[in-house]
Amino acid sequence: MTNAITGFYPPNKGSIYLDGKDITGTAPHKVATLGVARTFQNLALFNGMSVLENILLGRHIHMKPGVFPTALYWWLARPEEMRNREVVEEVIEFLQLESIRNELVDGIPIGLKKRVELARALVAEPHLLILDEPMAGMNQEEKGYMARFILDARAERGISVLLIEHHMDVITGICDRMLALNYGEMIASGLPKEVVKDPRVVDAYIGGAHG
Amino acid sequence: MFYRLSGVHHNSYVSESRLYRIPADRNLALFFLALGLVAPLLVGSLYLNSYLLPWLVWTAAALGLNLVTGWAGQLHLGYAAVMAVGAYSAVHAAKFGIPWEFALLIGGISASVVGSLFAFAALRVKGLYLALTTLAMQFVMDWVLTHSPAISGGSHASLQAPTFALLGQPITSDIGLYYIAFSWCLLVTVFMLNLRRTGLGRALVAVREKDYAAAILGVNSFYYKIVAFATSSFIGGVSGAVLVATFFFLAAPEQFSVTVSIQVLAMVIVGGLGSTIGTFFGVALILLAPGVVNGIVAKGAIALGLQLNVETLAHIPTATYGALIIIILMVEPLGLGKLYGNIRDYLMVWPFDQLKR
Repeated sequence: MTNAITGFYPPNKGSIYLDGKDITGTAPHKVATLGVARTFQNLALFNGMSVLENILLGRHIHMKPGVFPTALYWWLARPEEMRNREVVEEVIEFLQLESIRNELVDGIPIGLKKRVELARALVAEPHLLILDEPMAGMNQEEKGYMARFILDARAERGISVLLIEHHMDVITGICDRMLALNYGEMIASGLPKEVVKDPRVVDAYIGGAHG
Repeated sequence: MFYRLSGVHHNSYVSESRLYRIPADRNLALFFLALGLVAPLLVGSLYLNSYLLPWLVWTAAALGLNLVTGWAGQLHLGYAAVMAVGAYSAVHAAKFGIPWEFALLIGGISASVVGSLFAFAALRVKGLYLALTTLAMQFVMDWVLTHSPAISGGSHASLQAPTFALLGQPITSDIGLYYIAFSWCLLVTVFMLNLRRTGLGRALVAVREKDYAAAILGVNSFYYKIVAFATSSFIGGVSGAVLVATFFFLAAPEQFSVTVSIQVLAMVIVGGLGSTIGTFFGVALILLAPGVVNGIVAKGAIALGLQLNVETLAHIPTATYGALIIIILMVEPLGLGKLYGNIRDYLMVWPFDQLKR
């Protein structure tokens, strides 16, 4: 479903609406300019660049990079770079990434990588933020941090968040509405605490416990 | 007094985004810049024009290839063809009476047009297939050059370049030509250094590392690949033209053959993909090492009183040179640029270990 919204795979049937506009089949790089940002289940940071540079890439749609700004950096590119750097620093502070901003992303722990990816998605100032298993491979403490960051991002920035998760504690803890899918088919939707009790959801996700 | 910096501290984003964040790096760069400026006073015209000048021009050319192969991650085996387009169009323009400064520009632009037109077709495939497609471009260009007398002046002919001139002043002195090469190399180097801190550089790395993740951030990877090809072709085209104008003085098809393409690629790989300083080292090694090794072997044979026959004398340097490349890439697969970085990092903190970057 994520890949359909972000334009990687066109849907087999049905269409996708964003803010009332049909975006079915739009190329991924254009979907980004419409205010959709996402993170990946299996991290997709750019190795060989620092945390700061990775997050700055999130500002891409708000910048106009090109050959001439690069050649005439001092006159054409610097003001833009500095403006965007300020936005990035705000998010870095928000996600408490100050101490690692100049580290290469290759070498930081996975919990932080996930946070950098969230930062990269946030600096794009999206309307819709899609988080694909942001808690995968995290320990309880890191999960707690991440949940707090997601809630704060939503509260402070007014972003709609689409969260894909299978950690029931996280979902019931921070989600407003829940939609359960089983092999691409909707099996339940509604308030999280009701959905997790739905027998079909229990059957598909938790399994077996038919008292 | 001898002292070490205790960490690097910046007070503004502007100061943190300088090309050289550490004074030692900046001073070293300024020192070499000054050395380059006064080089004509320090070395004889033989060294100046047969070693330094080609080194600078080839470095500019290799930096252009580094943009497409190192930064954007697209293997390019047809770079000499692009240089040929630039060289031939500039020479023809100059023969037509257009001033050289515009002729160089025409060379760059036509190379850029040919390069990006080709990239439009070639970029539909990736990786090794792209490499093969660019190789095809090289062969097409070779064929066009040798089969169209209107461009090359005939199959085994060469095209005499008109005397180089700037603002109507003919430049014939060795020193003048050296400064032309020096300025061009400086321009390209500054561009490549700027790439490290602009959105363009970041977008290119993003395309190289993970194109799906780049797309989700709004980076149109096809567009940036084309930009990389166009820019690198422009640099290659002007470098080819400068090479002909200041070093070869005539243009011939074999100056831009497939061997040259592979040699420039070797310069980039030995120097380090994506590394600017590494490219300088890489070009020095590929371009100048054969001559140096040759000299050492010849002198060594005489000093030791060995009677080596001509063939052995010719083969030993080639073998040594090949072995040198293999050894360097085994010691540091990321090339001479990384090797330099390692040594620099070590010396920077010696004998302490507090300062990183």
